[in-house]
Amino acid sequence: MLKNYFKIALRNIARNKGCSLINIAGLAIGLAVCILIMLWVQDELSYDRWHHNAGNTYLMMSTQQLNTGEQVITTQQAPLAPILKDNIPEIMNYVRYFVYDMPISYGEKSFNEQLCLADSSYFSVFTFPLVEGDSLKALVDPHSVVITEQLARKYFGEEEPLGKVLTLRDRVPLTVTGVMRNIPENSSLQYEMVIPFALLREFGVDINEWKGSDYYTYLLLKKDTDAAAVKEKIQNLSSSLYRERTEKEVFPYIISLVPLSTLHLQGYWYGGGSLQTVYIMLAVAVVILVIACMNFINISTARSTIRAKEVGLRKVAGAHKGDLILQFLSEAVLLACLALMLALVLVELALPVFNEIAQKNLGLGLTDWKLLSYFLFLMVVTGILSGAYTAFYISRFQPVKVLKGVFKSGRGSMRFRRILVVAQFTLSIGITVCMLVLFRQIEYVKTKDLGYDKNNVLCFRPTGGVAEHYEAFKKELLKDPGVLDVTSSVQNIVHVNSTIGNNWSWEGRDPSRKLEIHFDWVSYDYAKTMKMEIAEGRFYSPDFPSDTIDGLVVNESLVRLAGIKDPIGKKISYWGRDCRIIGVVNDFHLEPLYETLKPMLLIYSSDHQVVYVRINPDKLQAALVYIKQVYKEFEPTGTFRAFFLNDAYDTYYMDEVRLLTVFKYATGLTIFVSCLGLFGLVAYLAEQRTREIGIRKVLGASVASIIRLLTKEFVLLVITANLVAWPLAYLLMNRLLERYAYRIDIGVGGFILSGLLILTVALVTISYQAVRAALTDPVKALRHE
Amino acid sequence: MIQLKDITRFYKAGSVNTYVLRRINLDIREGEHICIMGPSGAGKSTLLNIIGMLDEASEGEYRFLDYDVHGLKEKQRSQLYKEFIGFVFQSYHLIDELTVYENLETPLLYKKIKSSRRKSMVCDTLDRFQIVGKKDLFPSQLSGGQQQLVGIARAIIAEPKLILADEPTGNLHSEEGKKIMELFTRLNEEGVTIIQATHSEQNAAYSKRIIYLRDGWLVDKL
Repeated sequence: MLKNYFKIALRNIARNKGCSLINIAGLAIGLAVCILIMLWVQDELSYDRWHHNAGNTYLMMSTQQLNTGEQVITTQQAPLAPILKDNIPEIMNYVRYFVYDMPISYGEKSFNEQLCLADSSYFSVFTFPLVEGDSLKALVDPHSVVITEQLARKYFGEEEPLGKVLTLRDRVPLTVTGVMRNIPENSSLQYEMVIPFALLREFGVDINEWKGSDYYTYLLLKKDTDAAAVKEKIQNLSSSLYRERTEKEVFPYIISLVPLSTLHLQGYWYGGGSLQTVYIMLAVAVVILVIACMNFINISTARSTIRAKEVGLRKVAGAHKGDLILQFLSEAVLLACLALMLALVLVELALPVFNEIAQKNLGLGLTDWKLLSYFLFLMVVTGILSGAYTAFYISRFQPVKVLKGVFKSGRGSMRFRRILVVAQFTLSIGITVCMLVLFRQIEYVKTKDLGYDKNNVLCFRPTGGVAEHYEAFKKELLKDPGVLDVTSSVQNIVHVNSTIGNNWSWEGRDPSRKLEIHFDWVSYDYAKTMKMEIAEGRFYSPDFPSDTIDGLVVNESLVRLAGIKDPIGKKISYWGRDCRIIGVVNDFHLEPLYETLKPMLLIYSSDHQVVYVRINPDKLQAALVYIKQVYKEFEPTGTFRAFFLNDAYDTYYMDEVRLLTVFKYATGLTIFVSCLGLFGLVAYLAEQRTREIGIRKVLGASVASIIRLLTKEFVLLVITANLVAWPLAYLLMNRLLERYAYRIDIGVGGFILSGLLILTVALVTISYQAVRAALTDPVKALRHE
Repeated sequence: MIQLKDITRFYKAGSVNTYVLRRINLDIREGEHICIMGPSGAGKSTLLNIIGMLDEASEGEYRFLDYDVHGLKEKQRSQLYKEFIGFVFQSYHLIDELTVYENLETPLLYKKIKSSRRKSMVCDTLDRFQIVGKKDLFPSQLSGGQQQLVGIARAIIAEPKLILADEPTGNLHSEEGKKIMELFTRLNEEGVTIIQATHSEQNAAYSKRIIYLRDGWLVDKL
């Protein structure tokens, strides 16, 4: 029976080549998008789940309520974890680690590496298998190091890595005690070089001191433990420890435990994904597939009159309704199957581009049974989704009517088709509007005046000789005509997140008044290099040696919020230091534009963590070469790794930019697939009305009036779709832009633009068929009847 | 075999009922060869459709074998005609996408007959109608008479007790028509009940009993 169905389906496909092509192509595009996004989502969801302990390992985080909003801290103080383990029996183990960039050398070879200083439990809590060495003993000796196979090759080539000695900062020897397998791409932890926590002592850090919460702390809980209960215990214990230590009443943090397996999508992690993006991607995939299915439904119900005779005959020959439903469903599934094959080819072709956008290395694993069964499932669902309506509709045909030849498809089905066309175009317009709004917001974010000039500034982290002889290095750089200014700070200006709440005060403060402010340490020429404006007074200057002792620069927000009048010379004290204000700079954005402008202290410091060099854009290449050369002179063993400030700024919006790219493609595809359906539908309707058109022409209708006759309805449908899509898109985009403190007004421009765009594309699509129908010779058309 | 009692069929057209059949009373015994005659629009096809259970009477009683057709559900009705009735149409109504062989096979598929048995039944029928050589052709590749031959073959393949033929020769040359009528006679001799609707006196001559219809009424004579 099924064989018979497939046979007739194949013959029907072959007979109506144009129609089948439109149906299959539409479905194939929909399926291809779904498959690509499925691959992507699967990869996003696979992050960190491969750790054996993924289910019961948690990252400890603290959240603090500030008057400016919520601050999430992903790191803890060092002594906390051991105390927690000793007092809470459910905690089986813990790992703390600290990440540091430092130069590593072996013989002639020298590179800057990201080091992970971790507890020796690192390899038992996480699943990073060692190919050489013993994971239990590898981090016991403070001067040991575990590296990946990749790093081993980089430093030692084909030589045996175990027992080799790497040198840290030209001073500290590290013996390779283990080689771990290369880290999978779907790992949040990408540390290729792990050294013992104990080595922190060599850098003068006492890990038993309650100072600086810089340590990522993961807890391994016993199996089947209630994480919420453990969290409560931690909260209570941390709170009482805090009170003992600081003699303060209120512990200001709320502890949370984030499962390792969900870390990637939490959005706290640099380069991590977000659940929102996963949902949006899935929604896009579903939308495109649904549009393709609607095409299918539309075209096949329109053409159902052609199959009507067959349905009638089959009924007369004894077919039940169920038999016919099954037949038409299996036909749709067969088409979906052909579409799937085409889709797999499309996916294979699109993967390189997609990987580039997604910054992933996805492949179409057809040997993966699980994945393959997903595809087949998707195929069957698509087939049923697109075949169901037609199958039920067609199987209701009355044989008597059909066989008499008076059969006309009902008014009901026409209304249904109209609804589908409106729905399709609503989705297309909605996606186009979203794309345009997102595009404008990203443009806005990228070009917004931040209060400083982020363009043409090179930044890098000074190491060794550069950090030690910063002033001489700066002087040397300034000799080049391409280098305009040089300065430094502790945190990168694109994201300054250190705050002071209680430990500061200002002259004339109402003692009950509290103000939370941001701060950073900066050096000379900061304002000048960043092209900030000095609103009052002056910036730090070497001409006034006292600046470094008790001078202080603040921003305008601080002056305004603290209510300081005539700020120059007014006293500010913080951490027990008394200073006077020597200058006020204009407000500038020190966080991504999700946040508002913040009051801020710019404290002078000679701790140079980030160096900024403003370059004359006309002499860029020469200046870059020069800077690199000077760097080498000061730090012969280090590698020079620099980046432009505007690039660093842009990375905060990577997620949005990626989303925009997805929307751009989605817009193109939805419009294309919708129009493909429209094309098929109009072609069929024009063919159906050949006789009517012939008669009208004989009676003297002009070509233009015939074209109007055929296009009017669809133009009305597309306009209706606009009216439905606009409010929906507005609500959606408003929601998406909510996270920005600084955002564009959505405006009407985007709506009208996308409406017109879609209307134009739809008109072009319809016109081709309409013109063709209008130009046919009426005599021929009538003779055929 | 068939008892029609006061069968009336009308269509609602606005507030007026248009009558197609009016109080038809008819008894048909097994093995008869009946011809229904009448001008266009007299209700011949409607009567056939009601007998064939493709249409329902608006009023009246219809008994087929021992079943009260007017009281059956659609599914049971379709079960009934699948079992006992074969249809032949004026415009042949073969499925264009299927070959001769597959067209013959279709009713057997719906009767859920096993593949090997199906095959032998189709081959027997092809043989009997002498169209073995055409089994892989599509309907569009056959002449009208050949198509109707296939149509009849399809009607009798499931071994029905009753064949309903609506103007079976209406689209054929007289020579072809004659062959078809001879075929009906032979089938009737083998025990199949045949009811055909026709305009043609020539065809009517082949049947044993003629029924006249005019404007929906059963009449003695035209």
